[in-house]
Amino acid sequence: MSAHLIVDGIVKRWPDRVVEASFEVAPGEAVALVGPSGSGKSTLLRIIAGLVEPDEGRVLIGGVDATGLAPGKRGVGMVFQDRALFAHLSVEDNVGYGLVSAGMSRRAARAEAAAWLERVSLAGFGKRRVDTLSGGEAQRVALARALAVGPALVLFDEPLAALDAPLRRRLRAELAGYQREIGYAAVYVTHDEEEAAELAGRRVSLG
Amino acid sequence: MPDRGRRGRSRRFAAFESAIAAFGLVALLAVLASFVVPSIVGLARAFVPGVPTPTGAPSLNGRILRALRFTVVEAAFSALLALAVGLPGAWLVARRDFCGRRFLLSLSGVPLCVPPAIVALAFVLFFGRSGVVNDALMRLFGLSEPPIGALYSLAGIVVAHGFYNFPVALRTISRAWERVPREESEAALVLGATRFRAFRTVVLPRLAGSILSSAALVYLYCFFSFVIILLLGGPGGTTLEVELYQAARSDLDFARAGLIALVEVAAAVPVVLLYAASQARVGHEIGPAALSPPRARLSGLTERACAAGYLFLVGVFLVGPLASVVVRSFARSDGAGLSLAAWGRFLSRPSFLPALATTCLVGVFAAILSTAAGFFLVAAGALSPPRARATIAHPFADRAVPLLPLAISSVILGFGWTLLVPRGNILVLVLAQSALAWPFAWAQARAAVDRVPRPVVEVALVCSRGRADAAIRVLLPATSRSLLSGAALVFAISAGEASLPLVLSIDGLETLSLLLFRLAGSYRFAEASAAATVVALLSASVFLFQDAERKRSVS
Repeated sequence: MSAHLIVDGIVKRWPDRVVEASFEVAPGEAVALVGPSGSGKSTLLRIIAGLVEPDEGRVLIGGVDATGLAPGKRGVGMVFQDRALFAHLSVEDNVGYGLVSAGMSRRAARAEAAAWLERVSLAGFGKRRVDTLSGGEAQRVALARALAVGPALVLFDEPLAALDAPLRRRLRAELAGYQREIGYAAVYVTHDEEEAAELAGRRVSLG
Repeated sequence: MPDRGRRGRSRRFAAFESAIAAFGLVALLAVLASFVVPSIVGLARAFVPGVPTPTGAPSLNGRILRALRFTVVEAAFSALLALAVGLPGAWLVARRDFCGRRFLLSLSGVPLCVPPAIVALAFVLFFGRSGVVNDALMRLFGLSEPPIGALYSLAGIVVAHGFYNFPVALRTISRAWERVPREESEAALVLGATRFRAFRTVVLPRLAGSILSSAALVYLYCFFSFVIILLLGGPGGTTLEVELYQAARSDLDFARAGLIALVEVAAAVPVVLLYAASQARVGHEIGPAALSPPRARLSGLTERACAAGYLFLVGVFLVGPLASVVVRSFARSDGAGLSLAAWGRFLSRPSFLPALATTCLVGVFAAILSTAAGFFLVAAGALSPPRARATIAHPFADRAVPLLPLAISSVILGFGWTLLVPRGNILVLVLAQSALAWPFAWAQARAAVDRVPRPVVEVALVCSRGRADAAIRVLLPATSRSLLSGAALVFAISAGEASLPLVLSIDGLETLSLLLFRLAGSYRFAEASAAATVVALLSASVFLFQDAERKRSVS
């Protein structure tokens, strides 16, 4: 099977450090990027998403060279470490944000968002303000927002780092379940060995 | 025996605390009375039939309405220009590291510590018919007539106001922008938003309070602008402030002056309420909880060129004019070479030392009075029982009421005071200055007390002898730097204020700003420039001190 994501000789340099990586992710595969703090795991994820420009190398997504493409044109979803939910929008407008960007009407986006909220066990949360959510609820909203646009590749930057241990364990199982069920390729950044083992079938070490 | 000694000391300390609390209360009452009574007296004149004057019975005639329209238009355009210049600067300062960033931030002191009289003089010297720019353009292109002649017009006023006040917008908006998490914009981009949609739907809502607040504040500054309009206002370019001054001081038509004051306050109060409402949101936007993301270096030719162009624009329209004031004070009258003659003439004026002494004296007493009043009100609110706090401290009224002096101009207040005390004296000037500058002292005290964690306040209440004790032993030391910074700000504002001394027109009383205004008004530009440099140095040194204290107290 041909790879869905190819990170081909990516190099990013700073005065005090260098990030170098080459790896591939097959469609529907889950990979964990592991490495010590400062090894460039999050930077690499941001390079794949198009938020940071590499100094060298290419990023191919779905067989297309995406290195020069805008983040929104790459067909990826991303779940940020601090969730990055839009505090001034309701839960449903957060989830429907990407759908409106893609040209869907606000009403249709809200209906779609409601379906996604139900799927992540947050039915009825649509009108809530995001600052009233618990850590686990906010994480589910961030996941629904990333998945609602139907990406074939989802990037997770330490998705469970801010949660307590029991909740982390529960959400880990849920994340692995969604990935198997929907079938998107996933790249997880984590420095938790147990998390890497449960979420991903393969590890890529940095640093 | 030691017990008795301790009890004695404790009693003496309690008496000292009561005296301090009593001083705070007296200061608050004095400041409130200095604002409320003359304002009411001035505004009430609108309803008292006056002696018939050449202008006839007071009514909302075309002249007042024309002045109202001109005032609203110049204030609105000035606020828009300040926003248009401040917003890109706020992005640069908040998101990029570059040479000149600190300089841009330091300009935030300009609207507060450079008096309007200096700005008006600076624009005349730089953009006037025989100013630096016209001179240079005429020499460069061999012109016989100065090409820029729009200074004494609405456009000139708007440009002077807009660039004078844009640092208010830059500072307020950049502080909010620094706290918008970078990841939120990135999340929007990954979700397919264009850069513009990400800005409009994610960043802009987070800046709305700061944008609204700075626009409202600049609007109010420009709405009540007096000296700049007096010096730059061309034919037909009269504002309500100037009309009021003419009615009260030249025509002695107090009924008409009262009516103009009433119109002015009615037009300003909604904007003050809007400012107070937006301030609550600004507190949320720049709250301590969020962390500033790291700033990136300027990348690419476009960003570098835009930053350079921006700094050039600020240089031409703000730094250049201000620098020309200092240069002019050292220029020879024939323009060839440097000379200290203007400084010699200015410093040897018999009125220089009395003006300097009065400026310092009024500034110091206004600072003490406003700061004591501000701290007393804020501390009383913070230390009152929860139920009382819920009643007094309504989230909106709590912020709006202390800001009401922003809806009263120095000319209205001065007019009210001249009706109350026709001959005036230095005490009147101190009280009037305190009333005008008090919102700034109150805001500093309020922000400082808000930063004291609530549990600390509660522990202070439990462990202290009473509220005065808790205020003096806990709140006062915890907020002293901010209070000092607020006092310095009031001093700087008072030192630069020329309108009040001009309207009060107290016999034998001269301040540096008044002296500067008179020198500029009589076209003695070199001496006026020397006076402006002294006033700016005095205000700027105090402002820089307050800024350093404020930063230390926040950190």
